[in-house]
Amino acid sequence: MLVSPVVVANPSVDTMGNLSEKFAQIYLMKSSISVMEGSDAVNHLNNILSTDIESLHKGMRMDGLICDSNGKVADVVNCYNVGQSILIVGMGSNTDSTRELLTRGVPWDKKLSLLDGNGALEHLKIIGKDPCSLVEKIYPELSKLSENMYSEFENVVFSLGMHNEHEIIDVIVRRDNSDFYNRIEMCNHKIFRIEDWEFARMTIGYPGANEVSSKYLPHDIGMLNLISLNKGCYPGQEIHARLDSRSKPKKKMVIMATNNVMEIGKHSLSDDSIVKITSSAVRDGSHLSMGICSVDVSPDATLVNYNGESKLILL
Amino acid sequence: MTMLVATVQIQRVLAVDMGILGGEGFSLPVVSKIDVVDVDIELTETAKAALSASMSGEEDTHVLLISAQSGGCSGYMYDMAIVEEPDNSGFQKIQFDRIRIFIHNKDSTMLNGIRVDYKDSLMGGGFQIENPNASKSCGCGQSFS
Repeated sequence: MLVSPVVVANPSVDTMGNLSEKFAQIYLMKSSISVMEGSDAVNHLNNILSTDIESLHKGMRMDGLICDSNGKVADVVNCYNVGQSILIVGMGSNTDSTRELLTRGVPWDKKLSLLDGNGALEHLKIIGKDPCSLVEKIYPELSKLSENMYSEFENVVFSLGMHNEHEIIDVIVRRDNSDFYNRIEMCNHKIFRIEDWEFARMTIGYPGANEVSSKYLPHDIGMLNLISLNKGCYPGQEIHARLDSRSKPKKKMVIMATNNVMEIGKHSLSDDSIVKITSSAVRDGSHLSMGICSVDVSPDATLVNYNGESKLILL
Repeated sequence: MTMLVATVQIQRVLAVDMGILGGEGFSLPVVSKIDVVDVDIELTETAKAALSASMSGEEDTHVLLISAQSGGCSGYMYDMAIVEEPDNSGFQKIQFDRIRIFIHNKDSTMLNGIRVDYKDSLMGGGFQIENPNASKSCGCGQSFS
């Protein structure tokens, strides 16, 4: 038990055991934004994703995983069916590899094109306590958001998602939409930078660039819900099916709260297990890290050979 | 072997949905560069016999079209179909007696050197493709990477 909670000094974090942000905040994301055009876009995407998105109809948003043939995660994407096109938002760190995957293997008789949307659009996320209220404050005209559907109002797309029981609102906006930015300012809010997002995402255990990588299976990073084993073959399906039927996940993602800097890499825990720290962030002197460890890790495990205090937070 | 370079045949379609996708700022289509090679494939005698039976005398008007597309357990999956000769200049044509096999240029690198076999078996029978370019194949043999 910690004598003094190491993150208590951070006004946006309650205690080390309750990391939820006190207020909803808006973060500018470094995402890859692509637009797939063509009448067969949903089918083509469905062949690539590990998630069944066959029922992605106009007006819907569905999230999916792109995995390699070894079942490891290549990207996490949000797909929006905007009618003639599918808007695909992925991790900025995987932009080139994901776009290459999306453009390869197009059947010879299908006309599909993928446009780079980063020059025209920006992606923002709103997380923290009650993000819907923040959106209502900025856009009182907007109807209530619901999962799997997106709302478009004055050329701004809003959609609601969940992660570890936390609401996340994704916003896609044209870069030249000054009204959107004016509204935020008028409500006395500001847009936080991607550097601030690193800390914020860790409070809800949301994977970032270092976790969404070809080193990890979806099981390792808490993305099991984005695997559809009943959709038929997709890249990595054999591995996922074998894990489902003959094995059990061996690793899981955790949050580590400390009062000092955590180095990326392997660290020993007091229950003789290992945590592999994948990313680390600091805000107002509070340190949060994300890591991968055994599913059997003790919830009371602390770092050994570490100059400071630590608390493991299971997701 | 001829090595050409082509880009995937994709076209910029104007965004008809205005709203968020209307207006300027969208870059030209992202294209994957594809090498085009002269395709050489092998067709076993059993495969020839099975194809002749399937084409049932329509060899003059129909062709076997072999292609690869995204999907399957390993990233790409094969597709084989007997179709009327397609009106498309992008195909390479390989002739085995009266049987004509068409492979599109965009698939030429992936499918060059394949061996098409036919196994007459109740379990796991049918046409099978061995691909020397595949680093990995899935259990059912229909997918490769």
